[in-house]
Amino acid sequence: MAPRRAYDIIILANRCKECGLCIHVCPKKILVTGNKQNQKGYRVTTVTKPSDCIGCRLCEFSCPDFVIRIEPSSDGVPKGLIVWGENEVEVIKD
Amino acid sequence: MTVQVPKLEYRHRVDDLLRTERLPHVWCPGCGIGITLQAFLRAVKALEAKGVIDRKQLVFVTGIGCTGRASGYVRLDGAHTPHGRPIAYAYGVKLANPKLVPVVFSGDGDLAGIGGNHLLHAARRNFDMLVIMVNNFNYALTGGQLAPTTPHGAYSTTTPKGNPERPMDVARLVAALGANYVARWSIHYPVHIEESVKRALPRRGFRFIEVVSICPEIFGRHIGFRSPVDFYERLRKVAKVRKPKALEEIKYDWEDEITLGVFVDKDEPGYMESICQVYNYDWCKELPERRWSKQ
Ligand SMILES: Cc1ncc(C[n+]2csc(CCOP(=O)(O)OP(=O)(O)O)c2C)c(N)n1
Ligand code: SF4
Ligand code: SF4
Repeated sequence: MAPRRAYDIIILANRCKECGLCIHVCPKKILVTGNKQNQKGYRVTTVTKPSDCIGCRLCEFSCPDFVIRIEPSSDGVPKGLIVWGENEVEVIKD
Repeated sequence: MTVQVPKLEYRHRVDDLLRTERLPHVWCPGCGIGITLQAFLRAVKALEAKGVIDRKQLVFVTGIGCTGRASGYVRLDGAHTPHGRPIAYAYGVKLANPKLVPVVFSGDGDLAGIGGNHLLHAARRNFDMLVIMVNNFNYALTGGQLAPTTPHGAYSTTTPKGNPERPMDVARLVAALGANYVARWSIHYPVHIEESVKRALPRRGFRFIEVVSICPEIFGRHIGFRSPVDFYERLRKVAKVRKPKALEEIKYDWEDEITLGVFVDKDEPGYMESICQVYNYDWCKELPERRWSKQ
């Protein structure tokens, strides 16, 4: 079997409204409501186990707020990248 | 762990088609309008990448309502028009400059309620435009009044004892009037919505895509599905993809089945070419629809 591809799960934190649809649709159940609030006071979705991501993009397509983007990982390491500001990116690895 | 990343720009895949400075948008948490809009924008990008359309050709026209607010977020030429009148405006766009491609994006109340007569006659004329209707079962922006699409028996602000009326199956109606392309999806099928737009946008005649959506904030509150996930799952139960053999088999029933799928997919001459058969205007040679037609 070919090795599983690694994905970056990019989350644009200040657009999130905590609706929970991404968490609900993810077949691998690796998205959860985070503890940290964004500028509007919503608890932004975060990633628990980026290496489990299969790149299906269901979370990206089901997000009503243009928050999530899935990309093949830039450095081969599966990651969650929570973008809190232009110069503030939280990196989540397994 | 928080790290400082020097000037790293993370963008959403469709950010170049959005007025990102206006985000987050006004729609409530879990509202399906954003899912539909993203699918449309992905399709535009895909068609542009293939050289089929140019975003400068598109005119994005919306009516009034929550859905109507979309024109304020989309980085395309467009207009936010009076209630029920985006189709009338799209006629004007096409007739004034036949090289343009009007796209109407609006709500069920706007298109099938107050603007219902425009919808009927645009479909009957097979007028060259794409219409995307976000059906959230009610007049959401004004607080959840009864719409023509509200299910029988459902509670709304104006039907506190349940809706005594029968709802209108808008996709089936438009199909019966002879539109070139008619499809209905729900927000559970974002890739299907995108594929439908990819097929219907570069095409002549009247094209209609209905997207059955969720409105957890207003309609959800009335019918007891206040949580986006609960409403999403309740709708999934009845949203069934099927290939009906006849229009009569298409269902729009909140208790049984809301039929999804492509109901009409044909390539008959649209209104603009019909005009050209009678009057040979100079612009007739330059109609983008001519290039797209399969004949
Ligand atoms: C001529 C006119 N009549 C009534 C209104 C009030 N009004 C604003 S939005 C709306 C309903 C919109 O419903 P719909 O098209 O379903 O859009 P939604 O908000 O559900 O997305 C109404 C009745 C108006 N703005 N103009
Ligand atoms: S791409 Fe698929 S598997 Fe990966 S986080 Fe999104 S929904 Fe989950
Ligand atoms: S009221 Fe309903 S349709 Fe309008 S933005 Fe809120 S959830 Fe969406």
